[in-house]
Amino acid sequence: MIIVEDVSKTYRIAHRPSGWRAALTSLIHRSYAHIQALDHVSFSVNRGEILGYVGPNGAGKSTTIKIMTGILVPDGGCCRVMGYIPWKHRVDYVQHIGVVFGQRSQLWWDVPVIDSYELLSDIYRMSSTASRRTLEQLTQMLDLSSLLHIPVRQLSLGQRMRCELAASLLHNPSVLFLDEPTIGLDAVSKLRVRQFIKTINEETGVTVILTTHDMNDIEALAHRIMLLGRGQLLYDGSIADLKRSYKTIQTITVQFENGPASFETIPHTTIAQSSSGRAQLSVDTTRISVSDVINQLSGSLKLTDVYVESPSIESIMVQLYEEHDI
Amino acid sequence: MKGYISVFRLRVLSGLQYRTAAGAGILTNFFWGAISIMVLEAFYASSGLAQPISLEETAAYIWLRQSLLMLVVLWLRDGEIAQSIVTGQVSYELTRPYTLYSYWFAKSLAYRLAAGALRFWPILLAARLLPAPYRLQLPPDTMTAVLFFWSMTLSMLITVALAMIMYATIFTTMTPAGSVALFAGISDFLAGGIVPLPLMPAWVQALAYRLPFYTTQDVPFRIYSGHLPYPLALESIMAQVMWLGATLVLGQFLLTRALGRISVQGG
Amino acid sequence: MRLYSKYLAITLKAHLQYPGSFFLLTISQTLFPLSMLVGVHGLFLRFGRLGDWTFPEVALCFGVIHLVFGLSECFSRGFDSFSLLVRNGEFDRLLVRPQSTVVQVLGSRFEFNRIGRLLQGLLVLGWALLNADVAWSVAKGVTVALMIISGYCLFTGFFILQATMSFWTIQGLEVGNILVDGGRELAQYPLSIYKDWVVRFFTWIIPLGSINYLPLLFLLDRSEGVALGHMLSPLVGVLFLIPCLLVWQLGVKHYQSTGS
Repeated sequence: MIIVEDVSKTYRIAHRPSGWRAALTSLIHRSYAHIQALDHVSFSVNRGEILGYVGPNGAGKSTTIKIMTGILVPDGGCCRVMGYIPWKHRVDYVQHIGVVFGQRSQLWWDVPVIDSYELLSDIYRMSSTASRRTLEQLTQMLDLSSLLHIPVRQLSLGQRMRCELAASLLHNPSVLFLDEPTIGLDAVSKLRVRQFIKTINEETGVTVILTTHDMNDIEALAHRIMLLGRGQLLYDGSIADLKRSYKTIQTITVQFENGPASFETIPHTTIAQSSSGRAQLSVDTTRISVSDVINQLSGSLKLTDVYVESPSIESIMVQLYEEHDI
Repeated sequence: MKGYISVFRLRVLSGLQYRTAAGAGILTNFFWGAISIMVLEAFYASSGLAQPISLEETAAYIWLRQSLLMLVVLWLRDGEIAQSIVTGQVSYELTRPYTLYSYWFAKSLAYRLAAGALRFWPILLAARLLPAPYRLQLPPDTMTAVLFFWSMTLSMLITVALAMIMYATIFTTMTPAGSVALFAGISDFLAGGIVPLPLMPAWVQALAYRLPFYTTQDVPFRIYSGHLPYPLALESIMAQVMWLGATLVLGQFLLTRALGRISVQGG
Repeated sequence: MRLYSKYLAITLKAHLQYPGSFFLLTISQTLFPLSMLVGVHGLFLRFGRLGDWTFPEVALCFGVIHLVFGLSECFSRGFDSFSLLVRNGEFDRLLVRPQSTVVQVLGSRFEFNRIGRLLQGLLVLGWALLNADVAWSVAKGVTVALMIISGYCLFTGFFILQATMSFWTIQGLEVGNILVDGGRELAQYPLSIYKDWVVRFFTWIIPLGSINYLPLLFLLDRSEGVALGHMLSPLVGVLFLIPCLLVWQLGVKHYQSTGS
């Protein structure tokens, strides 16, 4: 479906120092910094997959999206989506993709949503019957019927995002690019948007490329996750694998009756947090089992509560970022 | 005071960054000035009669206007201020420890000075090198030059004070472009920015000299060439001082009233 | 074309959501050209005439220029305000839609309040046509229509060039002003009142003269040489669009290779 091979991209950015003298010299001579946004990135995406694309700000995520959607031409490497080279066959190609930029609206601000949809179906050269049918389906799926006749500026962010999603699906695209679709949404709206993305993927088999900073989005949706840092691909695999490889560290939280507590004696265990009556320990389960640790603890303390948890995807990410120093 | 100075400094610095714009602006203004003088030259050549202002004086007038445009025209609007009024951001400004009027005044003045400082001298320099009658004459004596300097400073302050009144109207119209176009459309003409006022029919002059706008362009540009000789020049400068006072007071009054209405509504 | 009219409709609908502001803008848009007109009239009162030209003849040039400028600002505003589209990243959105960038940029914005300037230009032009010394014929009627069409194309071409510049510098606006504002200012008067090099430049390099001065000579039966040439000279303004569109394509290519 999507093949990205060895893609690189460098930007040139005007360098603006501060201060009076620098401002005056930059009138005559301007220096530039070169930033390698993508450094030989390769991957491929299968039909029907939901790919979670993560990485800190400035890692090159949106550059990749821009290349895959035909907005940018890479300096080197090759990208093919459904056989098209995005930037070469732009007009033919984009007929098959839908794009949502979470931070920017594609709807016309001052008119009712339905007017935007009508204009979009003209832009995508759809017959009126086809567009009406899709719109009906989407209205039902996204529960839009009450929103269609409201001007966009009066919608809440959550309502607007549902309308945005519908707008990018009107022309039945085969690939859907979602750039931070849940940014700024409240918890309920986030759940609805996620549910919808899942449904649309299952029902139409659309391939979804999702970038987000919300790891819950990734956990709820993505079949596969790609981590990008400093323009390089650092991880590419399933969430399950990622979790498994980090499952070796478990966290034990214990509560105990007040008393002199010392945990230093337990091997392969570090204290994450400790206060009177409560402690949190990280256990390296390749060296010592969780039950051994609990046994040792109950030997020296009067435990009132024990709670064992695997690391969250969020904390795994933090760990990954730290490991790669990004 | 320190706060206003640092706002001023920041604004001037950021204004200095846009060299392409400045270069292009200089060319545009120069080009525009050359066209205006060519048109007027053709008009002067069509009539044998003596005119109330000579072609050389008119040329100086036009070069000064074109080079000091940034300081004296009202259509140069500070987008940030206008935007903050329309979006309601202005209510956040009220949480800061300064008077909004003075803050905006410093900001607008800096913006104009930054834009103006880059642009005025290349145009004046180039205009000095042109052949007659396009050539920019120097002021007849030092006294005139000094008077021009003070008059010009006052012009700039009056312009900013007028701009503040214009910003205050945005609270009512909520259409920055509309407010600006309305104000600038009338004011530039009455200031003598489109055609020097001495060349206009009597009814236009009668109207223009009763309003504050002429003190922003007509007065300093005519003082420069000596067209407003010494006693008259001083009189005009007094008129400038008076109008500056009036516009400052009015602007402050309107802004305070507009802001009062915002906080009542809860912005 | 169908799509363009849809864009028109949706923008009109949006504008009418704010009738007060629309009204204010329309009124204020007439003020600037109106004050110019009062200025020109005042100069004629003082000096009597401008070289070989009478007030109605100059008003004809003036009317045509403001009419076509109003038309371009109204219907090609998308290019005029294009730097905004680049700066806020909206141009990316246009690139992921299966339509040409030109149609989409044109459709991105219309300024209906420019109808003020447009109507004023039309009125002045109408008055001038009645009061200037013109012996009317079918050919001359066609010429007037050609002047308007070509003027619209020419200014749209300027806007496209200006927009293209904003791919390289976000400060592109001012550079374009030389062409747009300077050109408008210049062509308010018949070209012949200027120095020879100005006339030559704006006839052969930037064909501003072809939209009012040259055809005006034909209307007033003052053309020297081939009258047909003067009559059809406005077509140059239409042809001017071709290089502008080519440059635009280059600009889009550049944008795609550098990003914003």
